[in-house]
This record gives sequence, structure tokens and C-alpha cells, in this order.
Amino acid sequence: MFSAIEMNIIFLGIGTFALAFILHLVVWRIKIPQNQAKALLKIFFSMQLLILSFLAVDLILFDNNLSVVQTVADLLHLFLFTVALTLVYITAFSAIEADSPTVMIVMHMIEAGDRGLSEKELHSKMTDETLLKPRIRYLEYNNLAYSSDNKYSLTKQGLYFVRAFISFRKLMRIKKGG
Amino acid sequence: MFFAYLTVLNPVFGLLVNSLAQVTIKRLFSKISLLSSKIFGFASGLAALILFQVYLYSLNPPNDKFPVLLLNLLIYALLGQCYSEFVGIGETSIRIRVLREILEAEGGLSMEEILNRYNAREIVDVRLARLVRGGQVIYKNGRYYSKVSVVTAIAKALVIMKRIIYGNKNTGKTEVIVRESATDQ
Repeated sequence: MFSAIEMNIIFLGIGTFALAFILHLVVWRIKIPQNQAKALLKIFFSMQLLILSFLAVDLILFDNNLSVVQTVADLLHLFLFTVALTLVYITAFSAIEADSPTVMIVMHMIEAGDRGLSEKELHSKMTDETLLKPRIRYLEYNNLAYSSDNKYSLTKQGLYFVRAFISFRKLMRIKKGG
Repeated sequence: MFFAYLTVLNPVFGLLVNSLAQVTIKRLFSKISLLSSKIFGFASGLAALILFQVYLYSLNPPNDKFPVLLLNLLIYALLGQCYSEFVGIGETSIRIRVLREILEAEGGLSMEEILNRYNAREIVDVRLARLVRGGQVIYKNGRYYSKVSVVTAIAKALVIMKRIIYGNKNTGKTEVIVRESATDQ
């Protein structure tokens, strides 16, 4: 069904993603980076840059010896595919990294099995200590908010960040979520 | 050559149509759910991508039509998923909600004040209601039970991914902060 070039682009894209993923696993096993999203972006985009540069050099300087892609448009197609794969992984990673409350609720219910859980039991398992306080501290840790005299305020970065989301929600005419 | 570049950029065009359609339908019909608007946007972008691809084929017929279209559909599906997540973050993110509460309060908020405005009880209640409404959780005789669904499959997959990434450390971002702040005290 696929001609050689499209097949090459798909395999190369998945291969580049897989290499970056392995590197990401190795780095995380050694030491978890302080800013995980930033570190992930660096790893995945560096790997893409490396593979694309290699193919571009082969295409332009060595008369396409490898013949995996044929034109600059093919390289651009590969770039777009790997960027899309990376972005999907990074958005999924935020749910892995930050313990999504919905996932926590479902996992508590799976663990409870046939016994089920009452609302009280669920609230005792999911408290401000586990759900909110770490996230509030993380905002400070990530330079989105700062505390002074026991009060949290937004940094410039936090202000721009939250305003972007507020503007987008206003555009859709929807209220605040959470 | 020009057509080759237009073909490559077709998924981006589809994404643009997707976001415009999603925002427009949500603005026009406030009663429509966010999920429905996302599905409408995705379908609109998909239709635009296919129509534009057919138009490009009519101007410059290729030897083999399907491979490029399939690759573009794959890229569009991935970009569409990212956009859907972006829209969803504003709806469900705890951190964005906390930032918003701080922004709306003049002079900042203490931890206690934040927790008075937004707390674990509200977070759990909103999600529990959403899960019951969506049929992913069953409520019977005052107790909640899990049900085999896409949500339970995603939850299990995320737990497995977490084990693969963090190994025995099993520490996501929030736990790292909890651990570090506990060490600080």
C-alpha cells in the first residue's frame, strides 16, 4: 500500500522517536530532571535535529547515497511527523508525571474491587496534602508563582501562562475549569 | 515542487480548520459540551484535509495517491490529539485553576486561602460526577464501583508507563516536591 518513501518516513519517524524514548528512560533512571517537561523537549528535539541533519547532509552533500528520502519536502514531512509524535508523548507524559486525580480515583476503585468505595473513604484517600499542596509548591518550584509573607503571587511567567489559557477559554466563552 | 510542499503542510492546514471550527461551534452554541465541540472540530479538519488533498491531486496527479494521504492523515490525527489535550488542559488542570485563583485575588493568597477557594473535596467531587455521568463508574447503595471502560484501560496504561519510566523510584513530579519539601522541614 505504501510507496518506499512514505514507508521510510514512517519508519524513520518511529525510529527517531524510539531512540529518543530510550535515551529519556536512561536519563530518568539515572536522575529525574528537575524540570521534566523541559528535559523531555531537549531530548526529543535534539534527537530529531541529529537524524534530520544527518539525512540533510546525505541528501545535499553526498548525492543522496542512503536514498531514504528524496527531496527536501520529504525531510519536512519527516520533521512534521516526528514533531507530532513528540508533542503527543509530551502531553501524555504530563498525566504520567503529575498523578492525574481521575486516574487516582479509578485506581482506588479498581483496588477496592467488589467492595467499592464510599465517598468518605475516597475523600480520606485523596486529600489537600496529596492533591493540592504539592502542586501549589510545584508552581513556586517552576517559577510560575512565588511566596512572600506566606502569600502566593504570580511571577511574570505565571501571569503570561495563565492569561494565555484564560484568553483561550474566553474565546470559547467557557467558565473556569479545574 | 510547490505541490510537494503544499502536500506536506496539509495536516497543518487541517489542524487550523480543526481549531477554528472547534472554537466557532463552542462560541455559537454555548450549550454544546467541550467534548462535542472537539469532535466537531476534528471532523471538520479531517474533511478539509481530504478535500484539499483531492484538490492538489487534481492539479498535479501523482503516481500513487494513497501513501501521501495516509501519512498526512496519521500526522493530522497526532496533531489533532495534541490540540484536544490543549483544550482539555484548561478544563481539568489543577495548576491552572490555582494560578487563576491567585490572579483573581488582589495581593496574593496564602495556602489556607487557596484551599478555602479550591480544595481536594471539589477536585474529587467534580471528577467523580464526571465519571458517573460518563458511565465509567457505577454508584450503587452509597458506594462507587469501577467498571471496565476506556478510562480504566487508560488509567492502567498510565500506571504501567509510570513504572517503566520511573522504575522502583515510582516518583512523579508531585512526589518529588513532597519528598523535597519534607526533607527541607
